[in-house]
Amino acid sequence: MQFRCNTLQVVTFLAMAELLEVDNLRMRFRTGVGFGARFLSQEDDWIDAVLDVSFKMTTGQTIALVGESGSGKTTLGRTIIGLLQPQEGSIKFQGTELVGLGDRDYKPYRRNIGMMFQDPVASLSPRRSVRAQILEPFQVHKYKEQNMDMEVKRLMSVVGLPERFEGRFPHELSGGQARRVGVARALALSPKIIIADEPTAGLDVSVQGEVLNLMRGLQSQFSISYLVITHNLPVVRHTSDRIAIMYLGRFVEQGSTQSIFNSPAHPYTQALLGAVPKPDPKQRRKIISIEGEVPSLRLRPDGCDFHPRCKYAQARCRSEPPGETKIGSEHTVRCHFPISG
Amino acid sequence: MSVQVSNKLTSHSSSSFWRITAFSRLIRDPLGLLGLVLVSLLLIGALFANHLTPYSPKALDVKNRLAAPSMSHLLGTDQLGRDTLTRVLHGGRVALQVAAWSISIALVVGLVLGMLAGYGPRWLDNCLLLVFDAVRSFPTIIFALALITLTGPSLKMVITVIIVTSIPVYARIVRTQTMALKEQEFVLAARSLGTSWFRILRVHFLPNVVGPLFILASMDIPVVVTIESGLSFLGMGVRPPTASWGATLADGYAYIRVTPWLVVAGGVPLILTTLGFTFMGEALRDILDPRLRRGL
Amino acid sequence: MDPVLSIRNLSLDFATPEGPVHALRKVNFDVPRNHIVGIVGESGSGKSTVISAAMRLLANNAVIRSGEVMFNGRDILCLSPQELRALRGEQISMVFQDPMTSQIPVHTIGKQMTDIQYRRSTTSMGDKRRLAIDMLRRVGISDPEERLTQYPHQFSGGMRQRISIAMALLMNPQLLIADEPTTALDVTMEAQIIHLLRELKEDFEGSILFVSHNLGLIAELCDYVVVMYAGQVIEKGSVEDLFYRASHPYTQALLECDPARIDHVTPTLPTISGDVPDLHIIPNGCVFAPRCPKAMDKCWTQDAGFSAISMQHTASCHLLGYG
Repeated sequence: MQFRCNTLQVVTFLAMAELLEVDNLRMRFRTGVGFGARFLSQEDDWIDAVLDVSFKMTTGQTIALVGESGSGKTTLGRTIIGLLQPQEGSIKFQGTELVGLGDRDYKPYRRNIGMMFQDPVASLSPRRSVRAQILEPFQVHKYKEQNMDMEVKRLMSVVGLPERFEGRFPHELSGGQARRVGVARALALSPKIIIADEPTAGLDVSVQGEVLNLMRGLQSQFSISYLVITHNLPVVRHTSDRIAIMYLGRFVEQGSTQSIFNSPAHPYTQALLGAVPKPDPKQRRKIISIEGEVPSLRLRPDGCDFHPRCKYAQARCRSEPPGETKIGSEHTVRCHFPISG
Repeated sequence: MSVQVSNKLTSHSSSSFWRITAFSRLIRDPLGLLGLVLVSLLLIGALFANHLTPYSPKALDVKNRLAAPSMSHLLGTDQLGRDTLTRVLHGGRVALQVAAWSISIALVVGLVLGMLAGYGPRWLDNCLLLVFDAVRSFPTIIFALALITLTGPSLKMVITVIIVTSIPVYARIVRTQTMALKEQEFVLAARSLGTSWFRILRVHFLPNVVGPLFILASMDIPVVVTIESGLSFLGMGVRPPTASWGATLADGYAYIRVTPWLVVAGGVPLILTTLGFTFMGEALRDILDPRLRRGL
Repeated sequence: MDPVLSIRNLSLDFATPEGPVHALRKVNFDVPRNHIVGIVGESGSGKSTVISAAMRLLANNAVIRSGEVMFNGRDILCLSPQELRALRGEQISMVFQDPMTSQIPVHTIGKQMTDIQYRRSTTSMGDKRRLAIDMLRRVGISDPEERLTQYPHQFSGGMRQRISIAMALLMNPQLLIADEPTTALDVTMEAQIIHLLRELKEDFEGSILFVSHNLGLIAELCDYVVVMYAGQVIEKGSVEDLFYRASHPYTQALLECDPARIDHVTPTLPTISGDVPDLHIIPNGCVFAPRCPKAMDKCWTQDAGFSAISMQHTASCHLLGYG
């Protein structure tokens, strides 16, 4: 009796282990150049591209990282897939810590996280055929050659690329076709997570649905979770389960899509939502939601990052950086005076 | 999941087709065609030197020395009675050997070092650049003369000098191209898959970097041939009695009052080789570069 | 009042090794005085080609087959280079898409802004600088006196676009052409620039021709809209006509596909299947027929002329009948 209960507990525990758990991640870059900077670098020479980032991801979920330039969303994506090594914090994939793993130890985990890049044609090796691009992940991870032909054909049909494209080269593909190759490549090793960097960039509105619908289909077919990096809020509303809003490297708000759109708590989120133009002449905005520009990462404001541009800023905001506070189930905000309901 | 994907592509859909078109365009360009013809003549002459004339390049016939061109000696004879045409053909062989060996070795080493400098860590790049610049600071001929004075004239020495001084040139070009490619997204994509740096360089960078290098190398051939001839002219290159255009030129220089044909026989092949490779190389570059730009 | 710009039956080809590309076919629309006209279209629609033609900034292989571009009653396509130079920068000016490459990197902003005023022969340099400073302030640049001595690379994308707008308006043009001026900017900066354009138009008496693929911006800014597809104008009218009474199936589909217009959260987004046609070959019938959900037999063989739906609202579709 007791033995069976223990097994059940173990199984339940494993099922509940998060697919991806990021905790207090920090990614810094050095800005000084030359020998002097190497040896004499001070605090000022570093910029924090990603700071205090914590979130969780479960199977079959789509999380959108939303932000403007300087928000750190691309850097965060690249850190999670291991292209950059964070200075602090942890990234756990199904319980295993990925930060600090050497190249060789990390390699098997690369199979679990795939990436789709922003520029679909530039992210393909210029002189290799579509077939070679899709084969690449298998070759890098030393899969046996025999069944790879079938695999390539299977992947191409899954993403909707006709067989005759196998021999084509990147410069012979349209943006949409190149995107599909990118999806096939990301999908090759059956990853559990795919990071999609601006999947709709450069696509006409009438065709961006194709890529997004494809991604959704793959999600239900293969139980893939997506981390979508984007600045396109209308698309996010329809395609994501959760959203994280980033500003100057930090999450300023995190929550379900519904709660973010219906009751944004952070002034920046509110400004961002207000800045999206509505395709309806009767809904023209008389006042703009936000003034000023994103400050340079080198000149991070004191206190709250957003206070210089915030309509509701008070004395406390100028001196004390806010921490993350919970304002609903699964909804957190980094603000001293979050906007209520 | 079947989605409509239309095929808007017009012509070329495989790279072999593209290469055929490049060749046919080369033939259509008049200078390119001329270059191709000259280069072919040189190659045929050099390869079949033994079969094209009945003489050996070393066969002496002192009675017939310094003869003018005739039916039996199409370009006359030199001061030792050797058939000039035969010596020119064999000289071409020497020239091509020097060019082939030196350029191919310099290419390979330059390619490897250039890619390492461009892709590797900053300190490696700085070290290699230092070496490259140091070697390049020597004028080639002076460097050659210095080395050869120490070791004595020989074909091997000429080849070595040319290799050493050519490597930095090729390496720098490869380095620049590598650094430009390094920033592109496909490199990030390869890294995100876990591709090792070696594979990235070999599979992804190499094909992209090699193209312009070949054209450059083909235009270097006349330069190398001229260096070899120059050194041989000074007596610092091949040792007699090996035939070389430079050696023939030197002989002709000494006997110019007796017969002009030796100078002609030594000089004209040099001119034709230089013109041939230069025309061909430039035509190829014009064909391949804009094509690449348009195709991309 | 006659329109400031009138594009009449403009047809344009690009010569390519594979044959001519029929980039524009019988493009017809007006830009009324003191109004904002938007051209909306996706890739391959020809919207950028139209404005290049309006400024005569076309590539060398462009061949105008027919048509006129009338600016204040004169055909721009027939002007001499001197006459064109008098027009550009002074009566028609342009703001480009990429703020990072549309200014001279080696001249200060001050020099560029005073140089633009070279035709003001009676104005002193001091006055020209003052005009530049006023304009910079007007577009929202703080400390304009100091900015005049700075170089373009010292400014962010949003500020550079503001400067571009300032430079474009310095000579009080009658027509400002803006080619996707906010595409390269963040959404919060985009909102500011669009707001700025609207404000400026109130102050300066002039028209704006605004090109975009973003329906939201078109709705925000424009009085009239021209919809282009594959080199043709397929619908045009007031902004309300287009958004509330869209009559061409392409316009309707475009509106349906815009995720910002879809109120109900829809995981599977609508699309228009197929691709933009290859403009080497001009089909006999309607150019949208292959992708049109409402295509009838005659759509494939007969070109639909323009039908008037109301005073200013016309569209090219068989479903509307003739006349």
